[in-house]
Amino acid sequence: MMEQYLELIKAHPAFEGITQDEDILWLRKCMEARVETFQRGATVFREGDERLFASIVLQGNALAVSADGHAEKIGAGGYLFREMPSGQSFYAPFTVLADTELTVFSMRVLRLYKLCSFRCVFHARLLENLHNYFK
Amino acid sequence: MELSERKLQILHAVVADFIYSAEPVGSRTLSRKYDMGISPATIRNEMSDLEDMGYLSHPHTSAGRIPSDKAYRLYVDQLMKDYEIPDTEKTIIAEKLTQNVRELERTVRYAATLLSEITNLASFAITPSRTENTLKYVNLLPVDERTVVLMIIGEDGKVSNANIRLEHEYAAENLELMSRVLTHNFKGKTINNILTLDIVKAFESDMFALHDFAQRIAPDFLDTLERMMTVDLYMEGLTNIFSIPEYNDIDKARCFIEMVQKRQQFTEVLVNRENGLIITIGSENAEDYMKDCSLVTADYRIDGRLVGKIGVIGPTRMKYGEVTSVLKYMSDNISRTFQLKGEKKDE
Repeated sequence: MMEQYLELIKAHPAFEGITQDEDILWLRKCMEARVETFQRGATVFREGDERLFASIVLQGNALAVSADGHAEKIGAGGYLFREMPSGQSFYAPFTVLADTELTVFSMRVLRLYKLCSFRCVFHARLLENLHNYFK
Repeated sequence: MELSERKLQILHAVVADFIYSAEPVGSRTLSRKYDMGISPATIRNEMSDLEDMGYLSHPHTSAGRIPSDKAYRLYVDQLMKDYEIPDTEKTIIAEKLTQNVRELERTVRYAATLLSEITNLASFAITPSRTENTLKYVNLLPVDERTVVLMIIGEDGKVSNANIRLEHEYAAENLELMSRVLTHNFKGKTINNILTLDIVKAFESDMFALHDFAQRIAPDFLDTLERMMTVDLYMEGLTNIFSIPEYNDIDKARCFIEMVQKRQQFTEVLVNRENGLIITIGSENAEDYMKDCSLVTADYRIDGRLVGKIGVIGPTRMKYGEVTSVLKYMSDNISRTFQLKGEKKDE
């Protein structure tokens, strides 16, 4: 399934400098990366849920609703987390619903920081890109 | 034409006597009861003049005179003496009203009861019109799979709710989410203002995920909001009228009861009435069905802003001095109570 979204993933700033299809596909292994789709109205996750995966919107819109009811639309390219997640997991800061048909690209948080045993060169680049975005 | 001092004195005596006796007043009675320093014949002549001037009328069944609405108006405006409420009564009013400050509705209802007990008239109270009330909180509580209770709370504490039957099942978390979004979107807005907004459109353009749900609950949401603005009318002491001689005639009593039972009409009359201590006597009332009655109202304020009314309705022969003093004292007490409550809240 990830193959059909390769261009979208590569176009995302988080993957800047990672241009090879096989590198992106390799993320499945080293980051347990996956593409997930949600029907309109479906709950992606709820505020306070422990999230093992950090997600980026590839297609469609997500609706993030904060505890105070503030609703924010997150479109393609947006992040479903507020700060660079670290450790094994993070707690969802808001509830996210699929506002339209939604496709997200998710990576395991634990693996973001750990340089994987596969020693992939693009892993460090991905980390740097994300750090630059969230700094 | 201005009345002479003597005519005013006689008119005052006739009105005051009739108010207490409910019997037509003759010149002989006045001469006997009040030391006016003039003969019964002079009093009779003056009364005859007052009748010609429209202040008194002459029932066929009696030799005495009774005051007209015009006489009561003059009495209220110029002749009526201030009534000093006994301290014991003041204490009862102040204590009972401040003991029941948990919520406005209860206090206002209690004030109406107290007012009817003190005046022996039919009393009423209306809660303030809440067009300026702002929304504080919206909650959707699941009852079963397809029934939810919608609860809207205003900044002034007024709660309005509705049972909503849904066509589809919605997860409790979605209800909670919707509650949060509605609260966030409308908190601090006046009810009036929200009613003018297209609430579904906002969801349509910004929140597709909640749009269907918003569309389903929108009519109930608006109805429930609208109900928050309705004015509540409390009436007490209706049976007091059976001890008033004017209503010994069962047909008159029935007319009176029917009149006050037209609650919506009556509420509108009260809402549209001017603020302040207002007395309308008999024919001064615009509504045909109130031409035989006098209506006395005073307003009270919540946090110095929202205005409700409290008052009595009864025959034109009414102890205006006593009624207005008690009414003013009670309305001041309610206003003070809810002013204090507001101040405490702000601390």
